[in-house]
Amino acid sequence: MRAALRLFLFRLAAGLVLTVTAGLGWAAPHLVIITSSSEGAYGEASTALRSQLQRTMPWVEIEEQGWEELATQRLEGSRMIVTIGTQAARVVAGLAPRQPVLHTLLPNSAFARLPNTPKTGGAVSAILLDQPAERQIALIRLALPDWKRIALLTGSDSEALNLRLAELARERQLEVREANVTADRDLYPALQRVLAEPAVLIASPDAQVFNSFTVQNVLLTAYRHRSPVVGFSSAYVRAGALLGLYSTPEQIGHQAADTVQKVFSGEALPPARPPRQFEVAVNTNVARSLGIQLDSAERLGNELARREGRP
Amino acid sequence: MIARWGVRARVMVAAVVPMLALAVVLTVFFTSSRLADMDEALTARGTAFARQLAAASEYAVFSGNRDALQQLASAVLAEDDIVGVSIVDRNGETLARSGMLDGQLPPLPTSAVLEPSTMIKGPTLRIIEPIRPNRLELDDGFTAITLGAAVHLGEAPLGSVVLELSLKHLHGKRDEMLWAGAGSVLLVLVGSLLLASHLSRGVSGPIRVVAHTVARIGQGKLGERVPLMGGGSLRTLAEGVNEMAEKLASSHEDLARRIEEATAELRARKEEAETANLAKSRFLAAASHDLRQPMHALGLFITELSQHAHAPQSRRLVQRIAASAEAMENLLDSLLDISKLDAGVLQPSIRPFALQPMLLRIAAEQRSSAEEQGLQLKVRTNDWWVDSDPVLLERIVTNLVSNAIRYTPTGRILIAARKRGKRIHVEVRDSGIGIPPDAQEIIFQEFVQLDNNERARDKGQGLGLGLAIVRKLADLLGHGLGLRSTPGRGSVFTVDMPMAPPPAPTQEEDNGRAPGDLQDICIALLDDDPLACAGMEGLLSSWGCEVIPASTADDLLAMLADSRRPDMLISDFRLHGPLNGVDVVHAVRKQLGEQLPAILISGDTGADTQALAQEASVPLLHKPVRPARLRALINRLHNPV
Repeated sequence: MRAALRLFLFRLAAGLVLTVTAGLGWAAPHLVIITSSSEGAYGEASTALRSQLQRTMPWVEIEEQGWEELATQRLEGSRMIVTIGTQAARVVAGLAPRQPVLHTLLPNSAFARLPNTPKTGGAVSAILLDQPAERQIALIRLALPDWKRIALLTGSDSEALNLRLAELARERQLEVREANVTADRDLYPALQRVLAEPAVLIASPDAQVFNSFTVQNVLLTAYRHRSPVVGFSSAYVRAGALLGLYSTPEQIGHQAADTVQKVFSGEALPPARPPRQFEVAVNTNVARSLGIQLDSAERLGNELARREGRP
Repeated sequence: MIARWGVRARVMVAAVVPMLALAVVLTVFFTSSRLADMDEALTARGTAFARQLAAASEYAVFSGNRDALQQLASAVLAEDDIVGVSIVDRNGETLARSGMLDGQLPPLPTSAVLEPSTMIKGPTLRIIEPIRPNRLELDDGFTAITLGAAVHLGEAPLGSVVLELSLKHLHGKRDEMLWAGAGSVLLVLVGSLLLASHLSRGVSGPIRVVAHTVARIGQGKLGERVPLMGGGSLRTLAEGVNEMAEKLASSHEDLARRIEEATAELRARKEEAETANLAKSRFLAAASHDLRQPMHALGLFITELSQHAHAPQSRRLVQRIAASAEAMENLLDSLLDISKLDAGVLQPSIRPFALQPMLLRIAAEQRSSAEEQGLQLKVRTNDWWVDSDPVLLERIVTNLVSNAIRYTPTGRILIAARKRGKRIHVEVRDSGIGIPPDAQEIIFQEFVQLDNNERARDKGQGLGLGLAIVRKLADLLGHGLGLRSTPGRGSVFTVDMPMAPPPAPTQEEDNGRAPGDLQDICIALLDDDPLACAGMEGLLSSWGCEVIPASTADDLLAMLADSRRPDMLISDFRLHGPLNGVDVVHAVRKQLGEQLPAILISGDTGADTQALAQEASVPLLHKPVRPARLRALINRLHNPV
């Protein structure tokens, strides 16, 4: 009851402040969302973000802009900026606004390549696409307890992740087979090498190695070597990966809304972090073909979340 | 050139050319379109094979599985038309090869091709298809999100498939189709030629029928008609030709009829003219006969009268009467001559004779009348002989001389014979009034007299028949007749005749009796006209002859039976009763002997009379008989050479 009263009072105060600031010329919106595109994953993330903010912070004005027509003037007066997608992140980073900026829906490799923020710029953070190495290793241990060997293909964008993965795997008593891929012709020999004995191949979000052109041959090769593949999207699972570990745009949108809320409530911008929520997908056909017994995707996801300390 | 073509050729061309053009166009169009289709189909098939092979060999190329690639290549080679398969990787290294690649084509690319390509050279179609990795939509956001990153691994083609197809089969098909096309064009050509020939026969047939009919009409068969067939222009043509033929026939008939009419009229005119001529001749003959009888008697009486003694007054009268009678006789002679010449009964007897005596005799005869007019008449001649009829030639020259005397008022007249090569020219030259050039032809026509006609006729000098007789006689004898004249200066008439060699000199005839002595010659005389008979008897008696006169043949024969045998018989030709003079001569000769000389006298100048006398070889004298001539004839017959 007191909480409700406090919320009412807070809202009233905020309304007064808003009226005053409006009267003083603070007519600019509080939040600007810059999207790479209004469709697909970007649209889903944006919708999730706005719906949650409108529900929790209805007084916050939200303006959404495409990255193509973006100008510094449009960002004047806003309290915070959220970008969705690599393209939007790159444009906004180039402008170096004074407001705090939260980048979402971009891989770690892209975030790392953004231009450095000058000293005058505001705080910058991100919600990355990449699943944490711990989570991946945990999923493998959970779903495939009998498999003691993992295979990694490392390109230029996946060195750090694979390093972390290898480290964690070794901690968990898993054998690690690694190979570097720098050119087209290296892919098949690298696969041959790491899959000489059946191993769990972890696909990394490194477009240099795993992309739509190579993934079929990678999956075929892995299958021929009786090796399961862990992908990082539901499409991987549909294409023939045994397991998928990924976060949906909606989940990332919700996480971004939470962050915005915290910033608006006066907290500092947290550092860049992986997605909090995730999904697990299972291809039962592949499992059957490889003769692997698997729990359902839901149970695996719940169990993994539980082990990470969340309900 | 086309302008000289016939109907048939035109129809043939009109029928064949469009059909042939259509056949060629259709054949070329369909053959080329079919060939293009086949070409396209082969290329499409080859491309499909190449794509399938590229798709199928993707993983094998990715994994470098040469055995699998070799199997794939061999499998593809089993397909029709495929002669060579090669699968090369992105570096141009051959991973698998099956069959034979055409060496004439350029070498295979050494790097992976990005786009499919086809190439045709010679009998080979080469298709190169890149082997692309199968793209799988990952839908993870990473791919799109990492825009601007380096080129994705594996996006480049893995290699390429080279497929070679043989075009021999296609070319064989093409040749087959071309031959089939050419054959069909040929068939169409032959067919259209046959059809056109058939059609053109249908078109040109009627026209040829018309042409043949026209040709036959042209040859004069005006009864020919074109059978009416077909319609339109053909029918109009046929009708037109028929109409033309009818008009031609009718005009032809019309013309023929007119010619017939003209000919008939001409014939009628000719007959009329002939009838008129005959009538004229008959009239002349009758007139001369009827005139002759009294003239004959008159002449005989005058001669007898003149032989009696008279007072000078009476003698001059008798002389005048004699002259008048002679002039009248001359006129009658002229009429007689011209009628004889017109009748064509005069037969010239051409023989050689001496010209000189004749010319001298004529001059002697004419001299008296010339001197009466104060003219000088001279003869210049030589001892030449000519080929002519002496009687007729004498008549010609006499006429010319009397003509000259008549038209020469003063001066002289020359009768001259001149030698011109082998011919003799007898000239009658006068110094008379002359003849103008425009009249030099008409003076030879009958009854034409220059000068004052009235005056000339009044003088009793003639009828204008003299020169007409001269011309007709000269023509009859075949002698040339010439005239040179200048008005006021005189005229020269020339008669041109062949010269004859003189005969060997003969014995001068001499039978003891002086020429012209008729004393005591007994002459039997038969004439049914009592007046003429009396005149003749008187004349003969005055010459000293003994005359046995009779008026009928029977009387004569009866009298001859009991009298002195006559030396000669003189009979009129036309007698009362069934017999004529010739019959009487035959009868008397039968009684007294065939050698009895006989003379026929006739007032009839008809051709029959003449012919009968000639047939019986009896000399015929026409009435009025000139006493001198009769006397000469009696003398000649009584004293034959």
